[in-house]
Amino acid sequence: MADLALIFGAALGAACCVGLLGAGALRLLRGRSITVHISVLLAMTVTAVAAGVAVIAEAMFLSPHDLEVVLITVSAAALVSLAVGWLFGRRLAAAAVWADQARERERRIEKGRRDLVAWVSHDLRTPLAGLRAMAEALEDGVVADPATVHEYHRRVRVETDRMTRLVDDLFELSRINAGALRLSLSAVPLGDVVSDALAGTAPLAAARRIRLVAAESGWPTVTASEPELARVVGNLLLNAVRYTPDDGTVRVDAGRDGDAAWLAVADTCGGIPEADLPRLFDVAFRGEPARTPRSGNGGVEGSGGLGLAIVRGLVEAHGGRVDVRNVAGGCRFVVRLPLADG
Amino acid sequence: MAQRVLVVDDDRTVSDVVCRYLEHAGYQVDHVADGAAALAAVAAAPPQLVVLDVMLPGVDGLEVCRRLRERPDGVPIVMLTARGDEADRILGLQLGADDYLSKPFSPRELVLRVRSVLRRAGGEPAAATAEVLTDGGLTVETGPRVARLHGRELALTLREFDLLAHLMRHPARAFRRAELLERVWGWSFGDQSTVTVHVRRLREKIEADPADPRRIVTVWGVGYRYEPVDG
Repeated sequence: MADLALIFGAALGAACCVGLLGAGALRLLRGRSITVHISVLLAMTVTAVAAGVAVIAEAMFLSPHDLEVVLITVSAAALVSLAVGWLFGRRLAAAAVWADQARERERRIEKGRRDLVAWVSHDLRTPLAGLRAMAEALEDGVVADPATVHEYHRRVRVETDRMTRLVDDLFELSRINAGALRLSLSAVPLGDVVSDALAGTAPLAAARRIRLVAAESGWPTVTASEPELARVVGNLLLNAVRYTPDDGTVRVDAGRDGDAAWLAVADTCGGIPEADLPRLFDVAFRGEPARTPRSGNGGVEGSGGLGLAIVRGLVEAHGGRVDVRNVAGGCRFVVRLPLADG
Repeated sequence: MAQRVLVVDDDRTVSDVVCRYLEHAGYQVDHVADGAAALAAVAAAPPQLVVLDVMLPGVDGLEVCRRLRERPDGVPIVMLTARGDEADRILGLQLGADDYLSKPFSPRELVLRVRSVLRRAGGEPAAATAEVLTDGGLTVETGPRVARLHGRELALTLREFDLLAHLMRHPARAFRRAELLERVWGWSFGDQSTVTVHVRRLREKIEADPADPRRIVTVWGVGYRYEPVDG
């Protein structure tokens, strides 16, 4: 009985030594990954068992052959436990990281939703306030001279158009976010889309003496859905013209890069604060005063906060990417899209 | 006698304004507020055209459109829609409305569309405008509405045909997309990418190499023009 107690004590002592070592190691490794912790934990357990067996086996007067057998058995068991433990540890760690990322993404989406609702209520309220006021003034006969009455009527229509555009943009954005966008992909000559977008933006640019510069040929052909691509190019051009001061320049060019095509729209807006760059494509992001749209653009500023979010959504739906960075005198938006074969 | 238009819409404000505009434009206007009443009204006395809202109580506008299409007299329909996918379905072959406007729309524009659809549907003096346009193996006969390329008949949609005829009628003249929308579609405003899409489809049918068009060429930053091949 006494020798059993002795054996138990010796094994306990050996295991405790290992346990203490492990505890120290874990303390030193605080803040490291879950995989490291699980590995140390397992190594500790296995080593404690192995140490106990080894110490007692030494005291058991076993033949050298039997001792070898015991040690080999213990080593094999230790090896398997460590390997399995390492594998599970990694999986567990990956799941933990994944859950963390999912939570983070959820938080971002939720914040985006809140921002959007706040933005919509503000931007729908503004024209609504105007409409309400003008309608009441007309009703009460507060404005009575024919010229003002006519002007009020015209503004009611203009404001309504602005709200319509906004609602259309919201609808588009929600279709993108819900993944309900149906793209009919085909080989689209980028040059035609750019030409159309230039024709659409030219009057606005001309009114502010902004030069639109683009080569007439050499445009790649991309795989895209035409109406959506037209929207992307149109929004980028409109955005560039909107933020460029009078007498500025907006330049559009494109090229091939491996199996992708790129399209760049550069303006002379004076640059965007670096801190704002990553948020520029967020729904309803509004930049610093430097990027507040000029008023009096003929009502086109209606969808200011959604244009770039729509661009990103549409480009990503095409399997492409859109980036923005500052260049001398302004900023440059670059869209990458799959090249149509050839 | 004034042409009769039936307006089907359950929104009182919109239908009131629409009816006034149409009456002002010289049409005799009837108004009903739901789908069943619309079908009954058409059965009782077929109008020359129906202005039909998609969102209706009871039998919805799409269903009304489908049933009207089954009639042998083929009464023309201008649809009023919410914006979105619906427009595609409505203009698709399965429903075949003659034109559509998405809400909120301009009543002025609606009158223009109604007039243009009515002209196309029956009243158009086809004989007066029947002409044969030819250029470099491409023949467009506006009377029988037949287009041939090197003797082979082309399968063109209504709009593609009108667009091609319009461009060939004015060779070497550049048109902005808004102009084409107005002259070919009869729209005083609308989504200009409609034009782009039709130009591209047309090129696929008439160009030897659609990627390098020789007939319908892009006028940089302006629009499109027909370039005669015969010189």
